[in-house]
Amino acid sequence: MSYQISNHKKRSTSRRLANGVVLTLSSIALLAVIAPSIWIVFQILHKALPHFGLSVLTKSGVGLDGGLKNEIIGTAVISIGVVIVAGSIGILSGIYLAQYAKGRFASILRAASDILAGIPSIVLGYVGYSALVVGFHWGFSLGAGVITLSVLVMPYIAKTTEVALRQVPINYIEGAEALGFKPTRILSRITLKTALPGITTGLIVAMAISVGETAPLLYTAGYSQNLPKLTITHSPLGYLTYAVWTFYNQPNKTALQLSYDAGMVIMVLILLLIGISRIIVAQTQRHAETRR
Amino acid sequence: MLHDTPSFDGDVKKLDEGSLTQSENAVLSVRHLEIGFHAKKVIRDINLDMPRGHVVALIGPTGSGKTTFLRSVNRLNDKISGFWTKGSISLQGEELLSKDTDLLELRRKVGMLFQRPNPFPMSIKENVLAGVKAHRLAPKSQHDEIVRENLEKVGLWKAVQDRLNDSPFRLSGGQQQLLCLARSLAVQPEVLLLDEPTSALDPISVEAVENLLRKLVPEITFIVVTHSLAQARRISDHTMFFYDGKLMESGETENIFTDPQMPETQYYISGRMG
Repeated sequence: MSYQISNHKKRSTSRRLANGVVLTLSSIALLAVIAPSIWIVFQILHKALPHFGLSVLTKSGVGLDGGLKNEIIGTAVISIGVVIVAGSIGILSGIYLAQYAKGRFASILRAASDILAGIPSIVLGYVGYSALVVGFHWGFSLGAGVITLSVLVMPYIAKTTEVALRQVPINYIEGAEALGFKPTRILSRITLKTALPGITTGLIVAMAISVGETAPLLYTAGYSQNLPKLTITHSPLGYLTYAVWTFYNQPNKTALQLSYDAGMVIMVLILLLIGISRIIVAQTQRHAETRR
Repeated sequence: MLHDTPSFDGDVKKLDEGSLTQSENAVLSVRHLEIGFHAKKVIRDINLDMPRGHVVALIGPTGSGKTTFLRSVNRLNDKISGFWTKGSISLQGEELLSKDTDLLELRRKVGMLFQRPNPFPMSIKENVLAGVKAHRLAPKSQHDEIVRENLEKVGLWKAVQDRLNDSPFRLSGGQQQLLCLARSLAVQPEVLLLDEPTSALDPISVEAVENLLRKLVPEITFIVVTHSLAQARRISDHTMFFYDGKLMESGETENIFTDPQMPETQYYISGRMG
């Protein structure tokens, strides 16, 4: 049976039209995603760079003047604390969820973790305040801040770890089993290694959140213009988001400038974190099947 | 299927008639083996002796239980839900299906090569050494030598000697499979299980793998599941025909292919079934 291929030209026109529409729409969508971040970056650079000097990094704050040294160190100390506390607990729970949790118990655990991830940070901040600052008499402190932020980011780390571990190809695991690897060796040499980019990404997101989070810290870490005391309790400390949030509302030019400086430092820190994670991923994935 | 007892007698007879080696010479002895998942029985009362130092081909239609059987020999099915076994598989008189079996040592003695090449995400060199290191078989000073020896054995040394630290995933599929073979050989197994080892490879790699198997017997016994009858005929000394979870017929490959005794075997090897 032969038939006439009559509207060949018409179809190809409509195809081209559809193609064009999809391309235009997706380009607009991409622009809508990228434009705000570019706009924010330029605004902050525009407001901060003209008056920015090294003294901002080297001097601590004095009243509404001075620099951001105490806040920068404070943010670094808090982030490292969060990576240690939330990182270890989050990665271990991710391993548990991916490898050992079975059936109903596993879904209850996952649901609990999802609920925790959905709680607004300011609520966690208030819980941290009433439980740790007031309840345990820790006062505004490094410990209260780190633990509250850790509760906030733990679900992210657990989830990214679990997902990354589940994506490890079964071929690798069966190959290692068939070669007589111990379960712990399979975990350390094959599974964790393959899942490392995913886990690292989770950790970096967690660090970026703790660099950028404000509300929970206002409730728990307080504020101080002294350099952070490295004690768990009764050790209020400064952090960059405090400067962004509080100084911006002061009727004072130096305070406003510090606020923009703090915003810029946060941005640079987050870019650095992303860069470091890329390097780690590239270094560990030299022998990977698919490069990321 | 408890009324299978008569055919069981037949099986034993076939074992003797099929000029399979005597039990003393068998590297693997299977007695009254039944395997299943939940209520489903996949292997029904199998009895066989695998002759040492030969290539044994397991053939049969899809779903006949040959892969399930193969994976049970180094207990890779253990983790699958509902998996159960009855009867016995013994490696040189040592029971494999017991709870007390040392799985790690069993898997060193009985290696496995899979359908799709599965090198680990580490360098070529580390791949060859993976099992050696896991079982602490040799001091570090011998590692380079082990790498070279096993890559030479599989004919890969010349191709990769300059890029031992590279990713294995840049090798061709055939080379990856040879690397996996080198990795399995490095732990000096007695038996290697091969689950359709060449079905994902190009013809030239198939030939390379097949020639290797012929070269490596009799030090190692190979048990090969294959869907290619031509391959079974080319590489194996003995052939076992699985059908519907039963071992229908086994014997010297030439006899199975030229003078099959069971109608099912005749149907299968003539291409009218499966």
